[in-house]
Amino acid sequence: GLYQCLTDIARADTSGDYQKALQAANKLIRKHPKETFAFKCKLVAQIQLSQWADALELIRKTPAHQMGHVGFEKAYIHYRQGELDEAVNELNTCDKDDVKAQELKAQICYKQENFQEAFEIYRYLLKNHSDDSDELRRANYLAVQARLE
Amino acid sequence: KPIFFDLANFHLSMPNVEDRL
Ligand SMILES: [K+]
Repeated sequence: GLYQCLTDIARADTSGDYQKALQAANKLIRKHPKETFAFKCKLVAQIQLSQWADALELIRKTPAHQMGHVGFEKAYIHYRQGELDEAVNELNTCDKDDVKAQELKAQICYKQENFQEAFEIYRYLLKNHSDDSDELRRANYLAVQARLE
Repeated sequence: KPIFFDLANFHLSMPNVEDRL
């Protein structure tokens, strides 16, 4: 049933078996097409499997109320294909407090050697947000700072 | 050159199943 499908997805996600997660998400969508949860799971699995065209097609075909906000995911697809300007355009539509989006933007700024903007984003995130990645985020902040000096 | 960590990749995660159950 539904519970089994959801736990199958969660287990595959935890173990990093995205092929399995994709199959479980497809099964969930087939059996419970009104479940919004499965669409984002399917999208993340496709991205993890580098199925860029399929992922973009899924975003295009899935109504927003079923998929939820996918600004970060869309930008990440561009980013992984080296389309940095398209990724930044997408991220600029995301909220200032969307940590995933801001962190990806800072990372792209760093790659583009736009160290000043990367620095400001990390400074904002470190001041206004805290999670498991604080230590790594602080390291990135220092890396950017070093490039500014 | 200082080490720079790919945090964006960490953020690419599925929704939490606990929130759905
Ligand atoms: K990941």
